[in-house]
Amino acid sequence: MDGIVAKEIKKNFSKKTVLENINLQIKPGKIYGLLGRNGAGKSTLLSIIANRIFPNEGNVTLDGSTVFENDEALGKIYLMSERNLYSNSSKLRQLLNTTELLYGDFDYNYAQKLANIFELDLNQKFGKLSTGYRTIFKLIISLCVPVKYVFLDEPVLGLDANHRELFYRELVDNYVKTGKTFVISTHLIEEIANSLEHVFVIRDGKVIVDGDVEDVLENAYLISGPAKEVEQYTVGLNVIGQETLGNIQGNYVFGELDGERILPDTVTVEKMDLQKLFINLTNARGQLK
Amino acid sequence: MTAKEKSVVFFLFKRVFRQLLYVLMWLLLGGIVFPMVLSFITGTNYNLVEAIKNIILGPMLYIIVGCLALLSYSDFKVLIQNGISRHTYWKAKIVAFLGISALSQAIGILYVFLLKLTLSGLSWEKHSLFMQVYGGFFKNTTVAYLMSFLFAILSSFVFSLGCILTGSIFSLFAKKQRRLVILAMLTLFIVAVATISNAYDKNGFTVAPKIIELLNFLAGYDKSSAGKALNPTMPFIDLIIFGIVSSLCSLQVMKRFKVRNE
Repeated sequence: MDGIVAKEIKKNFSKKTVLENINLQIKPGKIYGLLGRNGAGKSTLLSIIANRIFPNEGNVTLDGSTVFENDEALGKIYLMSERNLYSNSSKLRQLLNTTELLYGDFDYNYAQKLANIFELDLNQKFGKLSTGYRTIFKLIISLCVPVKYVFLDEPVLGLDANHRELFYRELVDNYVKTGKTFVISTHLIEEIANSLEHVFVIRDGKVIVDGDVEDVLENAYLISGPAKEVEQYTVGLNVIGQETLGNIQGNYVFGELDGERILPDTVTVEKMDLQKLFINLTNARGQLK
Repeated sequence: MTAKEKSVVFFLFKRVFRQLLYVLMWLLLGGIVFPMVLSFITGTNYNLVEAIKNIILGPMLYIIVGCLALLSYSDFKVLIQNGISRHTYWKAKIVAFLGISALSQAIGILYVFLLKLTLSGLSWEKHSLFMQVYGGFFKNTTVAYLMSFLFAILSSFVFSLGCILTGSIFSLFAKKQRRLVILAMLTLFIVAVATISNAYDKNGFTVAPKIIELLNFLAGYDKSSAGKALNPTMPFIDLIIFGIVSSLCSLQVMKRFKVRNE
């Protein structure tokens, strides 16, 4: 099977189950969003895919071969995580050399260009960088490394608005030029929503949404109007959240609407954006039928 | 060996070699330059030739290389970030330390020879435990020397393998746990030494004959060779077996490495 396939992944830390029966496929040449609240298990899942930790059950394959202890498969994956695995005493230029030595074909000119854009001096030591610049350095590597699959775990951690903007622009540019697959795990959904093609939403260690952004948003609605009419109209639908302002109520619905149901004049139906959908799906009430 | 494995060997070798030079530089500063500066300041007599003669480079490198072999987790972090499997890391580390051990012992041996030639230092045989215990076994001096070099390199490599195993076991623990384990081992060591010395004070040492026989066997001693040079075959076999066991155990330990929350 093409791409990365995670099959029946289960991960426990001590007695706590962090991931349970995770099944997903990451196809080549797409930008994926991996969304979930803090502690949902996103970073754990990415660490398992990149063979940094082992699952208690399940397997991850890349083009049919397991990624666990497989140099060939691991050589096609790069995970940029919040955790700093680079040596603090190493200079950035040395780290680029190491990446080139171990991955091969590293795009040095592009790395230098990005360093200039982000105003990063490559002669500094990694340990001397601020949180934001450490993130920038890791982003530069992830954009220049010659792999098919790039996993970005909280890629804008510590970045100011200007740098975030620059990064999103470079990401899309890089995607168009190289056709790499990007899997982005982030909390700042609004900023990245327009770039995502497919989304996975994880809640309590389980994937609750797995679909193309367009298809997912096609079934995400905000029904608003007088509370009584809204309640009547949404009876039996998958209401995942609610907002009220005086007598006006807004019900967030995820799933198909009943086409035969008559919409009262006082009630309006709007589309939900990805961030709203995510918030409602991952709050206490949000659930899927 | 694949191109990737070669790259990892090169990466590790370069890294360890740089660390080795760094430690050596500090040892030279502490052992030669610092006492020399102190003698200038205090006006005491300082003999540079004696100081150089007193450096026992081979054994020093033996210990330093072993200590560097203990460091596993930092390399693992960098390598897993760069898509290298644990198995490849293990393989490359073994090969890199074979190279480093061979190189460092060659430098150590060369240093003693150069000292003998230039500064009339002690002859190499007097430094070599192998030559003192097993040297007489060989009728040909050149063979004895060659075997002694080989033994120095092999023992340094096997010592490094033992250190790789120890270092990898410690790498399984988080920093805090590691400190506790070291503390517990230190306590156990002190208790063991106190118990043994207490027993010795009361009863004297009575080592079981079977243990003595075993030690003799491992050292290549038998009653017929009493008073003569010992047969070096057994020590070579001991080292090879210890090396194989250590490296296989370290592979099993390294396969369990994972990125920790630190």
